[in-house]
Amino acid sequence: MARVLVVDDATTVRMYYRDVLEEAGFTVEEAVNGFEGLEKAIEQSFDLLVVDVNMPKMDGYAFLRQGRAMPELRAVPALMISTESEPQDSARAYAAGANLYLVKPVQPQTLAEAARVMAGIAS
Amino acid sequence: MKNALLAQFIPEARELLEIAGSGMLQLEKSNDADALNDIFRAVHTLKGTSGLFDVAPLTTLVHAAEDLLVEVRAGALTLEPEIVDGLLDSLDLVGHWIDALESREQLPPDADGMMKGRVAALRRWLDGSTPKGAAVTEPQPAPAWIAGWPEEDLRAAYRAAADGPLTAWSYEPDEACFFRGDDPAHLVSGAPGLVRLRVVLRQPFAPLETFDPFLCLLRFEVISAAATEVVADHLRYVADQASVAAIRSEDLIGLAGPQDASEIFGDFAAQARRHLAADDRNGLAAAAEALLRIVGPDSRQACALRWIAFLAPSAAPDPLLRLIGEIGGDCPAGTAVNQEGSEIAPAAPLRHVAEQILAAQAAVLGVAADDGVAEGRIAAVRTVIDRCLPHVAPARASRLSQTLASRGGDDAAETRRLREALAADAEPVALTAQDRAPSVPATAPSEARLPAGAPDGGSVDAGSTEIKAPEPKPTEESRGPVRMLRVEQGKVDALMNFVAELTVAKNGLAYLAERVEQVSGSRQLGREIKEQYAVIDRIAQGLQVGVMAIRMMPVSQVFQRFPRLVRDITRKLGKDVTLVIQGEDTEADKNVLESLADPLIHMVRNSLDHGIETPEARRAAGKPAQGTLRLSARQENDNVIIEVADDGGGIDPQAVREKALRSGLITAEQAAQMSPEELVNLVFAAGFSTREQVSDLSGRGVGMDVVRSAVRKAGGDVWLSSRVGAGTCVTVQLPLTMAVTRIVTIAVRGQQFGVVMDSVVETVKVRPSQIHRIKQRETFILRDAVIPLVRLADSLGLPVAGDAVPEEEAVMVVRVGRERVGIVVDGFRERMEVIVRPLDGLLAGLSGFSGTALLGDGRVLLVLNLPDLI
Amino acid sequence: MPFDLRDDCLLLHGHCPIEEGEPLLDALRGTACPVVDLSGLEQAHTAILQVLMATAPAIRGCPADPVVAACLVALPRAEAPGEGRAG
Repeated sequence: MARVLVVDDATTVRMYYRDVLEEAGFTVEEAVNGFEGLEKAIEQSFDLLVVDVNMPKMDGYAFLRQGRAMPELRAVPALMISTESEPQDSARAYAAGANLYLVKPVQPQTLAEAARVMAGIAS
Repeated sequence: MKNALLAQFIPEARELLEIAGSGMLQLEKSNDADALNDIFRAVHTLKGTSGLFDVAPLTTLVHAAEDLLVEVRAGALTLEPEIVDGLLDSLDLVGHWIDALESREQLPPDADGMMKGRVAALRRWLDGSTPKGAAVTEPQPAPAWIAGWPEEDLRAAYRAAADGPLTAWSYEPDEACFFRGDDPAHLVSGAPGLVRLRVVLRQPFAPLETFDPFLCLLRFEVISAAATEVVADHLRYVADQASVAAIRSEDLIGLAGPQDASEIFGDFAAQARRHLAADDRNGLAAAAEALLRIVGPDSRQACALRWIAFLAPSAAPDPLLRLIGEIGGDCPAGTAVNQEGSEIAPAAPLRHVAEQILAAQAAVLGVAADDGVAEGRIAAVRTVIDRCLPHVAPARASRLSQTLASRGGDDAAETRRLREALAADAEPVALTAQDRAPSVPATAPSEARLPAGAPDGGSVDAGSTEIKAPEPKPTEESRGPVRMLRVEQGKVDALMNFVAELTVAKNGLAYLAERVEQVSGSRQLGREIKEQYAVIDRIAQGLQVGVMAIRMMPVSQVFQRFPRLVRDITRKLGKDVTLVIQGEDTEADKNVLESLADPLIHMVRNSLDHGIETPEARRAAGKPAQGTLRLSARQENDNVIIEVADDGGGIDPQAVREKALRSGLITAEQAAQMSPEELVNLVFAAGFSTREQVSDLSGRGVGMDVVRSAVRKAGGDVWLSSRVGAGTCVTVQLPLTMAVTRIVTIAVRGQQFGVVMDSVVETVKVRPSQIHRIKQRETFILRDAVIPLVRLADSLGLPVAGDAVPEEEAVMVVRVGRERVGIVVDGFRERMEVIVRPLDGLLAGLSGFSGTALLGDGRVLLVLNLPDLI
Repeated sequence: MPFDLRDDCLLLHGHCPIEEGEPLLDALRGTACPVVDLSGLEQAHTAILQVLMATAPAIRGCPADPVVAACLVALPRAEAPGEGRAG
């Protein structure tokens, strides 16, 4: 089973991603901030990262930057999801190492399809 | 799925609102960057999460608040008290909506209108003079309650509105609002532009015997000929209980009643249209009135006719045409409800998705990577491209596959190679996606908004200050937060009940052991049962402590609302008060704390209203201009002690004395014996404040008897100490928990009763010769203190015993409030833990008892309510 | 005192504060067919209005305050008093 790490400080949002991604065939692991995300990534391996931007302790950008420099996470596709929709927001996400930038709220189908393709589990 | 998600969202949203609200107060006190960040993140998270639900007004309002905070954080805007007011009011409104979401799973119907008003208010600070406020006056869908109004009222409102602004608002004061000193009717009465109002009962009044006049059950529905902002401003202190919406006069034209399909209406419609086309308004009105004389008055059509007759002379043609359409049945276009829902588009082939993701990879490579990211990012892009290959056109897949295979060169070279390959025969997804976005949101990743060609190697926002190195705080537990469970309170309560039952049931084992010894004479078996009992007892106690710990909450849960309350009230009263909160970590049972909430608000209000003086008066009295209100909590044995202390003017015992005398509460004789402290405590006496307007007295009194009865109902007590000129301190004592009560049983005239252990000070034997009569009351001396005696048998009206006066009286000294009283009983029996259940059924009216308890052997014990007996 | 007990009715006048709620309730509860005269009433606390709504006495006189009027609109009306007092 493909494994996805969801990093978001909002409990409801994590629950939503979990629902959608489990439905899409993923095993979901959660982290409440970038820091916890990195810890999880050291312990376990993942096929996909779904990352929020604004989080306490360590934000999504910092998480991705650190991740891209770590053997465990450097090549893991990352989907960044945030509320901001200006062009510079996606550019900033890409600079930090994201592979795709989506704007909240993401429709279930959009998330499921993008996640399946990026994790390589779409048939 | 949505519902579970919503159930998750509601507590999270409340938590975020709480963080933002308390952060705001913190920020107002001191300019604290951390507090600002906390608020910002809370609001931001709330905005993001709310987007998952169909709550657009909520999201928009929170967004506006966030925009304002962005300016504050950037230093472009100073946080004036008015702005804090605006933000807090908005958060209150959001809190109110969250309540609505919880109970009805949707926002109130007037949410959109409310939101517009708030957003406009917030925007005013944001862009100074820019008249973005135009959006406010844009009318909203009218609130649903208008439809419930009688036609005449609606027409009267219509007439009064003329062409000015109209606002429909409703105000549902919460039940306990009187305790906060609110007078909703007065507030409504003073509202601007009052045109028509209705007062509705939210629920039927209780029967007169149990009717509580201090529980506010009204709801006000009002139409004002005033601008929404003016009304909203008038209601700002009760914003969470009111909803305000701008409406158009047409919104008042409501039709009610059953449809009447008579042909006669069709004829009328044709005729009416002709009148209108010829602008023959009098003819139209006459035709409507003529038809009204023929048809019954109850139908929807008749209702429309009355409106036509009313509107014909003055109204614009549009509403008239609509009404005519309603009568004739042929609705003109526009009234039909657009029911086209959000159909789910057929799943797009993943090829499209894959192409979008590939386009994103091209965009990724077009943006310069942050330091240290480049190498890893290329690896990730390669992974992603590779995973997209199965979904794209075969030719494109093989070309990309070759590019992935041909490695070599540095990162820059590889980036270039990949970008070229991606661009080579890319499908024009970005554009298509953008075009499709509005109609097929479900399949278009929002990535499409990325500009097609980001500048080569151009550094993006390199100087931005927001990209900071991570700052993990090593001092905090870095292993992630403590895992928490959110549990419905009902479940814990049920568990608590079982624990309490177990505690009682286990007492049965002790009886059983005794009976075994008596009946079978087997001491061995009896002892074994006792040993078993000891084991179960230990487990039950552990269980009880555990479950009680779950229900324990820090008093901060109750205290947290006070910074805001104190701030609002002092601003309103023009006083300057610092609130000092102490011991907020003290824990107590949730139910106990909840019972404390309203009395506490009341006491704090009293302190601010009557206790603490205005800055001028304080200065004149040689005190600092700023008053201090101290709210503190601490645990003492099995009680939690809450104190509300102010350094205000204090209560004059002589003023209280005179008032109590005048109102006949005490006799001159009693008054002569009372200490100043006893005198000031008379403010708690029922009936003290009802005789006269309390504000006459430089103290307090409004409903302090209500406070006392609420606290006593929860098994606690309240008293007060005061020094004239120096301040007043109200002390509330409450049991830590209400679930299991330790009692001692006493015997009187052959009957057993329970007395709560907490109130028992000691038990003594008193000889009849030691009992003295002072003023028709028996007393005895206990270590230099005179203790009044109460004969329980007399108080309970039990039959007189025939036997002679015993050599010694068994006296139980109990504490009632702060007084000690001796209770004469026949004897003491045992101590035990029981659950005291309130009296119900036949016993409900019984005075003198606080409840019943089931004993281990199945008997029912009445538990005495001592204050009733003394 | 903002309310007086006359031979034929209860008279509310001036400003009627919340403290009058309980005595008023008691007075109304203790009367078989209570009549309340509001001619002189200027303002009444919401709690007072609730007591009137709950006990539903016959009302005499027209309250000046629109909110008071709206609260009491459903209550029965008492005929004007026999002699003298404006109603």
